[in-house]
Amino acid sequence: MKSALIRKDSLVLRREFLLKALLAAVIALALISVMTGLQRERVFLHERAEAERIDKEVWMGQGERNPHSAAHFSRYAFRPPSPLALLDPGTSDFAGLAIWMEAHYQDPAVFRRAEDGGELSRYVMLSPAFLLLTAAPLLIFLMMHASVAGEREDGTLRQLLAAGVRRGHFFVGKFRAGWDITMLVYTPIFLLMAGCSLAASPAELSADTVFRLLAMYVAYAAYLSISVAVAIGVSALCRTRQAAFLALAGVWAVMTVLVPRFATDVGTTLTPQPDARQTERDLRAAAMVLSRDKERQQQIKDDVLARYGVEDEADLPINYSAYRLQVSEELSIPEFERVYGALEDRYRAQEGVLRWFSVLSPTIATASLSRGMAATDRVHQRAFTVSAELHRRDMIKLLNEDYMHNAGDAGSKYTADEALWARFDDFDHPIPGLVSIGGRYIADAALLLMWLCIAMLAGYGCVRRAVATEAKAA
Amino acid sequence: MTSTKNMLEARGLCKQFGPTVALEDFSLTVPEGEVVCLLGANGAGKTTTINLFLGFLQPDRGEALVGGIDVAEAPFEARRRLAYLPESVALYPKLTGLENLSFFDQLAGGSRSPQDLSKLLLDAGFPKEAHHRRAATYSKGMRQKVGIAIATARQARALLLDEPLSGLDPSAASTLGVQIGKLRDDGCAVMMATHDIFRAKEVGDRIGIMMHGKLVNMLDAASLDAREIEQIYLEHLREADASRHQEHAL
Repeated sequence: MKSALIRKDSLVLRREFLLKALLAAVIALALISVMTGLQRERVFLHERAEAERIDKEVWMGQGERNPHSAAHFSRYAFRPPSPLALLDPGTSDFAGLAIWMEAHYQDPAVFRRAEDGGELSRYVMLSPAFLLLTAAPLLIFLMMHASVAGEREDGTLRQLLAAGVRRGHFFVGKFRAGWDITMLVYTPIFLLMAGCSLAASPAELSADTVFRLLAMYVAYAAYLSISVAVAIGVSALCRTRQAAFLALAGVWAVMTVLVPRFATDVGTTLTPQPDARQTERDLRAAAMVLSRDKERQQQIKDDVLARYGVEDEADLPINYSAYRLQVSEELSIPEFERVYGALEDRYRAQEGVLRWFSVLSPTIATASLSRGMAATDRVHQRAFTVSAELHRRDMIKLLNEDYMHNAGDAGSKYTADEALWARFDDFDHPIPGLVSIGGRYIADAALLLMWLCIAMLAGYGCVRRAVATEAKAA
Repeated sequence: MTSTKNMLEARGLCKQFGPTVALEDFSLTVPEGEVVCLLGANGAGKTTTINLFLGFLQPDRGEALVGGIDVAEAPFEARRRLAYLPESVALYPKLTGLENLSFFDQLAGGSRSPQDLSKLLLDAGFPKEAHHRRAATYSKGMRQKVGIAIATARQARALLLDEPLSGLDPSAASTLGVQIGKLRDDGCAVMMATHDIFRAKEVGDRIGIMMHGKLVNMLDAASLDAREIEQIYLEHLREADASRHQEHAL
């Protein structure tokens, strides 16, 4: 009986002119999103490679200079390109692409692509993720709005009940028919978009990327399944196609637009963004922690003189200025960590608020999972900035130590050359493996699973109610 | 001697909607191979009786049995033995007549070939050229004929018809009457609700007259002509009205 219902519902759906028109629209949008994404990624990867090349050339070609001067000259750390960024650019346009690893100061990431975008880019970016998160549920709602309401309006529901069709079978038939068509459209489109994303990436295909892709596919499949169940449930609550259409249009607006927007606003209201100028002042203060503390400077000098058993810094076997620069660096580390830690706490609090709103809309949890799997979310940006900072510390330490041990009588006139510059590895931060950071996404995955269960149960409940009402209305 | 089984049986069925009594102590048996027409005005309780047999409604008292199965206790089991034709058979407009028939055949566990299904439609008087046309283009009479084919495909032992002839042109109504007769001849028990005395006489073996939720008389259709049935019906109507006026006066 179930298979007969599934076959019938699939056939009815396939004969809908609207479905064919929607399918054409989906394919067109998918192709446009992939093409624009490919173009964006190609430009980004080219610019990034050029910037990396120039950065290295400038570093190696800086000639002879004092190592501390070189530490100020310094290099950039570039964010690793994600092979799945084409699928979901996430926050990458709004987060900095590179960090200047200069002496004394932990710089924030700079060069945000959003700043370079024209006015039009401030509207919606048509990415595959946007298509799946907002357009796909709308198309499912349009396709499924008459699933139960149409049967009630046409009188076929009563006919089915008289033929001994059970409520559970009726719901399964509707769900499977909608789900089958959805998956039949979604799977090849996702594969096409994933294939283009991987093809555009210079990175080799790794097991981690495959795992991330699979997780992303499953997350969107769950999201689309929720949309199918919601469409059936709402359709079952309405007596006519028109009412179901209007109700589902409202559900779509609330689910994909209003709740995520409202959640973001509430999050930033409850835990406001830190004042940018204050943060800069805090970072400057962190950098000056030793230079503003005369007592501590004296203490450090006394300690080092005592350690080497001399009375004057000129008698030290090391360059004292370089030594003090390194101590200053190390004293600034906890201060920088405090400032950036406070920022991180704020962002996490905002995400916490957003997660609460996931109870009202599955779009939030799905978007979070999607960005996470694409490695374009704040978690991955944070991993990049932490990694860049560790690289900066090592780099500055190496320069300061060279200055400290090799300056000799030349003092501040000491210069190093290309031999020293060549000792520095290029910044290389691989995208963290999903196994190591997967725990950050368990809450979102659990929320999505909860949504799927609730949507299925609620959908079935609405169908039960519709069937009971229909039988009594006879 | 052949023994016939009671396929449809009502035992003291009562149903009330709020203060309105829809059905009161309704008892009736329809054996295999017999057509019983329930004749009555709107609100007489005909559709309520059918809905109780379909299990769409639960009786306040009494039992509705289909092939000996209590509908209230095992509605799905009972519905498997039933076919139902409403006043206007609802078909899936995007499917053809043949596809609609095939679907309902599969629902009943059947797996007839398109040729067999086509034959069923032809037997029901459904024109061959319309088999592959979408049901959205069918007239009411054509839909009723598909409904008859569905009932035949389901191999139902009992058929419930709720005003199936109303709104049909005389020719279509006559054809449908013939089809119902064929089902009866194949051993199907038929209960048909109607307010058309002429069709009730033409199609039915027995005619039950219903007034205000009560079965007030059961007539042998063969022994009376349509005019006599109408006289009896009108007499009952007058009695019922007089009785109700008396009740109101008290």
